[in-house]
Amino acid sequence: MGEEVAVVLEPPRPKSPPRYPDLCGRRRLQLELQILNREVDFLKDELQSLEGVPPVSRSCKEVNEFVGTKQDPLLPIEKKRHRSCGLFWWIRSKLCICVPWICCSCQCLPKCKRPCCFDCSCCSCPDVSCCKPGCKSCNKPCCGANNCSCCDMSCCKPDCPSCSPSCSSCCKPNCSSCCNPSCCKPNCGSCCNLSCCKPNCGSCCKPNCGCFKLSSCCKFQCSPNCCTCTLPSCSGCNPCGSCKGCCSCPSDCCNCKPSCGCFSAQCCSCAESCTCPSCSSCFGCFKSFKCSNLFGGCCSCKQVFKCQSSCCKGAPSCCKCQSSCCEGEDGSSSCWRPCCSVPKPSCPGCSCGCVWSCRKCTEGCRCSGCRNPCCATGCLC
Amino acid sequence: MASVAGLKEKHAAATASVNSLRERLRQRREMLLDTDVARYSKAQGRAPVSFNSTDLVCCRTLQGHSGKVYSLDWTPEKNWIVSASQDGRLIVWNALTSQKTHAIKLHCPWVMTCAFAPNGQSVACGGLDSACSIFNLNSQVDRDGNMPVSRILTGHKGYVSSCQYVPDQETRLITSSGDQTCVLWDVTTGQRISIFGGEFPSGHTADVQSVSINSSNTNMFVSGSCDATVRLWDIRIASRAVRTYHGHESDVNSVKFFPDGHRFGTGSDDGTCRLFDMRTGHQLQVYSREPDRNDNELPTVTSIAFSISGRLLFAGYSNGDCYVWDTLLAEVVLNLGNLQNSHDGRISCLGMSSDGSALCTGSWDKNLKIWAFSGHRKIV
Repeated sequence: MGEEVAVVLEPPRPKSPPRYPDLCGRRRLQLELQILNREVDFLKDELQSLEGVPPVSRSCKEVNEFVGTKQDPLLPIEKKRHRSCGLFWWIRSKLCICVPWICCSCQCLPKCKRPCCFDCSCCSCPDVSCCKPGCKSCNKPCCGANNCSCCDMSCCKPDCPSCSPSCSSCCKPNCSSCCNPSCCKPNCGSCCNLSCCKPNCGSCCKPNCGCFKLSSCCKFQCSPNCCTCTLPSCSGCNPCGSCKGCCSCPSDCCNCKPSCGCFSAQCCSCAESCTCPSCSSCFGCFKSFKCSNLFGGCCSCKQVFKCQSSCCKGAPSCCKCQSSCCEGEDGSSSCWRPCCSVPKPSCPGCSCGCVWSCRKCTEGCRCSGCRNPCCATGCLC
Repeated sequence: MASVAGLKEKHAAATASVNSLRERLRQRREMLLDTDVARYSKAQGRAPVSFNSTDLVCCRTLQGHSGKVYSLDWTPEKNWIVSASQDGRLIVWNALTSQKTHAIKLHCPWVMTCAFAPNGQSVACGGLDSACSIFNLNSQVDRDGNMPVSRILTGHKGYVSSCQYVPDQETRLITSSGDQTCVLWDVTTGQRISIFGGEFPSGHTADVQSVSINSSNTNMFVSGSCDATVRLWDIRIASRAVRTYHGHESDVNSVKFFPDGHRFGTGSDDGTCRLFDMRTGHQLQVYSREPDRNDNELPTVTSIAFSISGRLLFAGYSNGDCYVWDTLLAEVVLNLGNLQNSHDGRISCLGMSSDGSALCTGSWDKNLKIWAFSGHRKIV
């Protein structure tokens, strides 16, 4: 079989959203006016709804109260608390004093009720008022009211005198020399970068935009004026090489012979001749597919299993119903309900939470005692 | 009938009114902005989250796609994942064993999103074909080994960027699209039940990139758009958005509800993640990276996920970083992109398992990776 010419598939071009009917003059203005008046009503409603709305601090309180109410399997261990610190902790909490040397020697985690900026790793700078220019223990740059030398987003306000021009947060809509995504608005002049290039991009278009790059000018609806969003021809590649991507047709893929017999997408790893991956990398060969070796060592995955009605009676060869099959159900049922009919082993404390770190674990369940994820197959870690 | 000149005058007045109201709204919100989550938490003496370098590890790498991975979703119950890739396939994985249980060749290879049905028996996907295809995983494959489509949901006039089933309802699905709308579908009939947004500007004014349904109140969902806003919708009222959230300075690529159901997080092309309060509209916190020393452009946020307690916010970036943010203190506690066995390319999608024990990341390096906690968890 000779090489076939690659068929270049045109990507579908979704239609643009419907435009307003191009009625001339009066009717178009009336429609736009209607839209604006509706927007005015929405904005008035929103302004009204803000009356009586509590400040942000209330929501922050709710967030703080919520976090910690649920056990989180991804959070690290609680720090150990030495018994000897217990009395000290109680005394401290009553005196509301953050004394650094006591704090650090007991390795406690003091909860200073007042801001504490001593040079102690246990204490943190709880709020901005703690961060004075000479504060050493704050891990973050100190942004006091009169010190904007450390320029970060929260520090630099529009009239911040000491922020350098390169400070991105200083540059508001009338920026000139500081050109970054936050600076450049739709009517950008000389700041030509990605954020300038919106669907109605004019002169801020990159010449070789590339295709299907979500962050670039071509947001799947690129206009012909803006950039070239067509797939270059993959004339050297044949279907075996699966040239579907945008402009990415690996050269070695083009050497694949159609007679390779490989599962098509995987043919792209061909070298001098078409060497198909070994059967172990064929799709799972688990439920519905099985590797079968063809000539030359190439494999293909063919469906070999066909679920029999007996699958619901626990026949292990069935591809659909496994341990999740509901006992007692008629064999013609599709066993779609997840059901743990297999008795679950008990979950000792140390096996809870080790679902992912245990390679032997093949099925997860929830431990009735600790409510942590557990291995249903009784994997102990 | 009003003259054209009169209409132009009214048009100018209405435009001025809109601008004035928007400014008043902005000022009113600024007055209510007395703190943010990080300052509040620090004032409360919240201890920071501290990870050792081996606490969160990559414990599985799912290999099999031959193109960039664009989207992934977990089943609500079992540890199965569906992923969508540039190679034009959906793959269903048993994440625990790394086995592929299904490989579905798509009619249109330009897929952008995928989702699992609540019962784990169906998957949905959509992309540049402007349609959402539904596959029943129990279907018999045809003689070529291809799985037939159960239903195609057509009606969008632009690409389908995101889809999600309504929790606990196998028959309801919400999609977002490049045609600036979101749609609620009845999967059994293939009909559109409601369209959110559209011709009048009560909806988004640019491509919608992402949706997230509130699992605490499934009548509510949020959508993020290239118009730099997020909008809250009530599926019972399609005529207008309940609320619009401003703050981001560029496309909003990802939205996800906070576990308490009253807040939601966002990720944007402006390089920041933000936390908003759903009911009041307040912006509670900005999670922004330090600027690059070489003054390179800030990496954009492609996807986000919250841990089950809400304490951690995972954010995937266009440069391959995957920051783990302490939600309360607004600090980066870990970068999965710097760990051993991390991805070699952009993180395009993230998803948390339903029990919160594992995070799955998908990347342009064609792989998916499962991250879980492997440190010691006992309290002495």
